[in-house]
Amino acid sequence: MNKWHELKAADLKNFLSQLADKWQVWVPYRNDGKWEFAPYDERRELEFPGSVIHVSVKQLLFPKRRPLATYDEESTWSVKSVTPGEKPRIIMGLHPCDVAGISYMDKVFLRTEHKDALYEAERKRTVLVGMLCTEMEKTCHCTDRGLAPDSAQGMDVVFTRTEDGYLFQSLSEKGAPLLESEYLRATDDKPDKKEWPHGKYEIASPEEFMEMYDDGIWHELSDICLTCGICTYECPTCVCFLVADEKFKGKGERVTVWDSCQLQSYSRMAGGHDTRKTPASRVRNRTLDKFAYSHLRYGQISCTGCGRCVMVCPLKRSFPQLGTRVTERIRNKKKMTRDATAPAKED
Amino acid sequence: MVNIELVPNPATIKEIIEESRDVKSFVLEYVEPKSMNARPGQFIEVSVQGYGEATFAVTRTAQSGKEFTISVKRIGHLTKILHRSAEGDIIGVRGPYGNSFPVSEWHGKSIVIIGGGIGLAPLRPVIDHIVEHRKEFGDLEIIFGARSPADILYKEDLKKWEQDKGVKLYTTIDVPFEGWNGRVGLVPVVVKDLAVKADDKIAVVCGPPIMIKFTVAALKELGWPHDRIYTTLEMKMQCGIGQCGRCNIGEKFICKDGPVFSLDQIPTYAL
Amino acid sequence: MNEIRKKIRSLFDKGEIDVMLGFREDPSTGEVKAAVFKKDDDLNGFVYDDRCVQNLVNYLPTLTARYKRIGIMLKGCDGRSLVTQLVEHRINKNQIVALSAACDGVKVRGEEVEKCADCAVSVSPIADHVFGEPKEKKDPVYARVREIEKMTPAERWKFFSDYFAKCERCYACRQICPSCYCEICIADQQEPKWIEPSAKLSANTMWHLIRAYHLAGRCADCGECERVCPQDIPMRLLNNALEKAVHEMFKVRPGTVPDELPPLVVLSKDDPDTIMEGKDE
Repeated sequence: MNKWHELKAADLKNFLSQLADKWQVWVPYRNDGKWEFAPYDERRELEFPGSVIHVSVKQLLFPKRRPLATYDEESTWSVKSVTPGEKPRIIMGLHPCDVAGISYMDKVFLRTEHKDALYEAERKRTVLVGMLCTEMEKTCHCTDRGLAPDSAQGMDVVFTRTEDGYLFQSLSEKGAPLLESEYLRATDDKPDKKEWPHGKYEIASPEEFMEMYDDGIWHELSDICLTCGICTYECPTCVCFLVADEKFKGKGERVTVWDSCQLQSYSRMAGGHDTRKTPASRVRNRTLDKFAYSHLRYGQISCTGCGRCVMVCPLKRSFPQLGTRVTERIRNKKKMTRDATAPAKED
Repeated sequence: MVNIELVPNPATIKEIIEESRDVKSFVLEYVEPKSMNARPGQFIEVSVQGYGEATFAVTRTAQSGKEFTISVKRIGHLTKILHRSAEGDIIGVRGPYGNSFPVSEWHGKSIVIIGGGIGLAPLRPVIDHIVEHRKEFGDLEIIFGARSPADILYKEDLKKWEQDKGVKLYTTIDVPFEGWNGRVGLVPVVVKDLAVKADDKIAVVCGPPIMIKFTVAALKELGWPHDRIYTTLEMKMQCGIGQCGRCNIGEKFICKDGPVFSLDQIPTYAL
Repeated sequence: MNEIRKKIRSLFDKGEIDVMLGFREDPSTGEVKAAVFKKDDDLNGFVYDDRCVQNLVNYLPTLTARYKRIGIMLKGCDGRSLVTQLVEHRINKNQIVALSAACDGVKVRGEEVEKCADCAVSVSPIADHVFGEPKEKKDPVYARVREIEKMTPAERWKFFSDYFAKCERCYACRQICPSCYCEICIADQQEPKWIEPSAKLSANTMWHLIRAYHLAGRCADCGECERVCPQDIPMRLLNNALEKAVHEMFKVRPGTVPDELPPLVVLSKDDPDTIMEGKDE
């Protein structure tokens, strides 16, 4: 039986300082009201938020701008690959939706014979210490996406807040060494299980979404969506990128840079041909990718229900409502066909 | 040193062939001894240091596996830079990626190759394969359309194929041109005029998107079923390895599930 | 608000509009968001108060392609935006029915918004139907710009580069701006590649400065760019700085006078000649 270990609140900083001797420790800090992960700084006030952290952890494993190789402009060919990161690192305070996002990124970058070596190195050197949520924000809807605020799936170590401190449990070989601290004591205590609400943004099945490809609803939805792309930058499972060569004062780098299927330039080819010229086709692409294509490719829908898209959408449009409106249309269509084929009533 | 897939390997330009007024072929060879095992239909990502990358089909591989050829039409930024290169220059290559034409499934069948302009480039390795293994296949018909006589590619190959008794070659240009005494007409129209019979044959079509669309329509009118029409799609592939997300048609990635598709494999909404 | 609803209902009934662009309250978040109302929709869902911050003019080019006549709800600053769009021939006035309610300032997340302090017009300069009394116009103060002008160049650079370093190049500022409508944005051009795509300081700075210059004399100061930025970059400062210069040189605030051409597009005999005389401004 995998025992829980308790840590008194007063010992938290000592425990973290101990970890910081061997690992780079990243924890959530509040910046201008927004939570984001930053290196542990013992001088800063430390608090673990009970629900979603605004800035997604995607940036730590797959940076916005990521050098792959360097080169020298003077020479004809001097391309040298970069060395992948190696320093052991702990990210502590991730929530279940963050970890679900990471498990999706694993599928994108590690599942084929062309594994992304840099991402693989980041994953290998990182220990995921996840925290169970104690509450759901107005924007949270992970329960509508097959996840739960208190699920420890995918974490190396899981912890939760208690009245007088924290409870930790190791879930993998990678996580076990973290709990070898004199500040942690094995205990028979266990976190309570909670019932979580759901039904805020329920959606249809991936197969049903695929049937909506040729429906006219995408034009209506794109009448309002401005395809600005903010939702893709904050989303933990949006990892589309472009590859570019950039130079500065003679030194060049080949980099991957975050890109977005919502932007006009995404699908444009030399010569001007563009397969996704209309906003309707771009809105359709993202909606179907999150709720259908990802399931067909990797066996899981990529939306984690974290609600960040709702928080950042400048039009308060909220991406999940694209899903629910399409779902509504799907249900209506089915109802109409059922009614149409129902046997006529007798007078 | 860790192998980062998106970082290219250096290759030398051994030879540059002027195919037409805006198409040049580049015969390449890796600097470090490495063979290019590209099957017909596969593509590579080619870089010029500092100028980015673009996708090109491998249009020919030498018997030795060492030299490989791409044909480049000068359209945009990178292709312009490539056209300015010289023999001996070093450029970057990675690949080959993608699936390939299922030539082994076509044994005993007759094949019709329909290429428009630069679309002939990814089809040439199929023709090479059939010509090299002539007895394994039935008839071979090639329909090639160019915009004008100045846009005709692979003039040496066309001559060879014309003289080959086992090949029926039809070359056409879009509109009448002074000095041209050959066939005139857009490829889809020529396909209809020739009334290319479906029988048990395989059709392989490649060219500009609009040409593929109308050629496929013409073939369907002639009774060709979807599962015997093949095409190769090149739509803004970038990483080539199914990660950057942009080349998708529905849930399929052109770079991983394609670029070769039979029409019944592409979601109907694609073309 | 009921007066507005009644007018919209009558416009629908008389066939003067096919759709109405306005706002609806989202029951699950309590927030107000843009919505397109059709003839059969219940207009009780139509809300109009100081939470209606969004500039709806940006939707007009796509909607005018799909519907014949569109009603739109405007504040003063939105109206300025509409004027600039009409002057640049992006939309046809005969497809628009403009409704404007006198605006006393808007609130974002319950707090007052800085742009309202320099409000140029409380009612849209182009309006077919006006509700409420327009407020008196004041000359702009440009308080924030003057604060920055007091800084030394080194301090200004630190101020802005700290913000530009955070930019993710999500282009929300561009997408939400009605005046940003180039078919191929300069940031997306490959030949030449004016601005590098990655989110590093040099490229981000280029992006913000170039966008500000492209909007000089055209920016209606609706403030949406700053509101939507996920990194809270105060890019409106750049637009205001240029607007202040345009105001001082040409006595024009873009979009406040219907049919007035953007000052940097027109050459007029009265244009200040100080640059030609070799004087430094």
